Amino acid sequence: MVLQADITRRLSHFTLDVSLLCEAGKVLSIVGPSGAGKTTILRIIAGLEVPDAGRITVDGETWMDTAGKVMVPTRRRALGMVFQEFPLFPHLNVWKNVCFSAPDTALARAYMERFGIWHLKDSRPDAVSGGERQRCAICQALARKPKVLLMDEPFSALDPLTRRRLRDAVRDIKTELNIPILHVTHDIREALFLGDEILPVVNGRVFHKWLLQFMISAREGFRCPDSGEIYEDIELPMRMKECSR
Amino acid sequence: MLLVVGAMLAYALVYRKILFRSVVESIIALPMVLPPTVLGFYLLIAMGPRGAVGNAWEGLTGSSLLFSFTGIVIASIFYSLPFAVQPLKAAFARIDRRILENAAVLGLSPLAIFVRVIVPNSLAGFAAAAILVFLHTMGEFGVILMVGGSIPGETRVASIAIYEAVESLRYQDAWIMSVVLALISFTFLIVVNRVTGREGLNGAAG
Repeated sequence: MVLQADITRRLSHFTLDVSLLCEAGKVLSIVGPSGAGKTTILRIIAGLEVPDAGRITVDGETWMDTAGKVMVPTRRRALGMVFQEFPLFPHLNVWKNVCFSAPDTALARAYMERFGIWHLKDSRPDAVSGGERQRCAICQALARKPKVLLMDEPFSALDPLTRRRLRDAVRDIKTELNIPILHVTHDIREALFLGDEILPVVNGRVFHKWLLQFMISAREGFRCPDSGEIYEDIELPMRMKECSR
Repeated sequence: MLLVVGAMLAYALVYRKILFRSVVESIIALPMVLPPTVLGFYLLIAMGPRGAVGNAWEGLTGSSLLFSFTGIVIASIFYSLPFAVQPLKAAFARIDRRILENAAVLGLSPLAIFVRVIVPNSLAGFAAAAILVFLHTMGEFGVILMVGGSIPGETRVASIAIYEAVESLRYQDAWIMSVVLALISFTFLIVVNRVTGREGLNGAAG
């Protein structure tokens, strides 16, 4: 199974123009500063937004092709999506949330046990912690047997310890899932940890020349490819934006 | 019936891109500001034997819409629609859009999203709409007088009965009916306020 996407879309400050390819069992980490268009890429692949031009295919099946006028609606795209703020359904308990569109409740249960939230099955989403809610959201996305998993800043709203645990859990499960996983983050270390491949995106474009800099920056701070200045990791997102101008 | 129509309209107003939204919204809200007799007059014309609606109805059923119970029910729908649409609109707008996007990602059709996600998350709005509509319909006077007249057992409603009691100087009857109406309205308004107030607290906590 392979996900292939070529997307062009005019945004308010720049034009998003990205090509990407992700194979089954692999994680492609899209990394870049906030406002780089990362989330828009995922939303277009999910069909929540429409690009100006482009083509998305999953395993030979075309989800979107502006040239061929193909536009498969979101609900017919077999995908799982994990959002930053884990929007669970507030009127349902955790178990019903996970099973919301699961064809197989045994699988839903297996994921919940695997992610350690089975004991919360009768709780309401607002009664459990952020980390537990995000586990629940991941189980919900996986329980419908998606062909592609999209994760939009999945760990950003969590505390460091929970973040690390959940990151480990996702890394452990990726080969077993055997589907393409797109992972969006502004955290370079998270991308290095989780991604089999990394796609640096700044102001809507892919900057491959920055890849090595990304690797180094995780250790030593970020060296701007143009000016040669080095920045500390903490202020990296803003600096990346400045350097890309 | 009113709730179903109201819910559909509220859904369209909140979630759909519609042409001339402000015009549509104003038309729905019009009965709130228009003198009931004006609305009643329009309905009287439309539902009369020469009006389009009245004509079609007579063709279908053979009886007149005017001065019948069905007639005043239809008139009430127009009259009370804004009171159904407003609370539902507010309730729908309060639902987090990301939840609806998540539902779409999970494979739900727009109708399924409405039934499985929007409705269960706006029950308070539905309750408020139901009660407000009930009260408003109960307190209706002008429209019904125009369209329904006052036929005992058919189209005589409480407010018109009170009016007639006063006119014929039966003050005691008027008193009793007025007190009953006021008490019912008061009780239901308290319920509405509690329902919507609780909702507000939940929103703040969540």
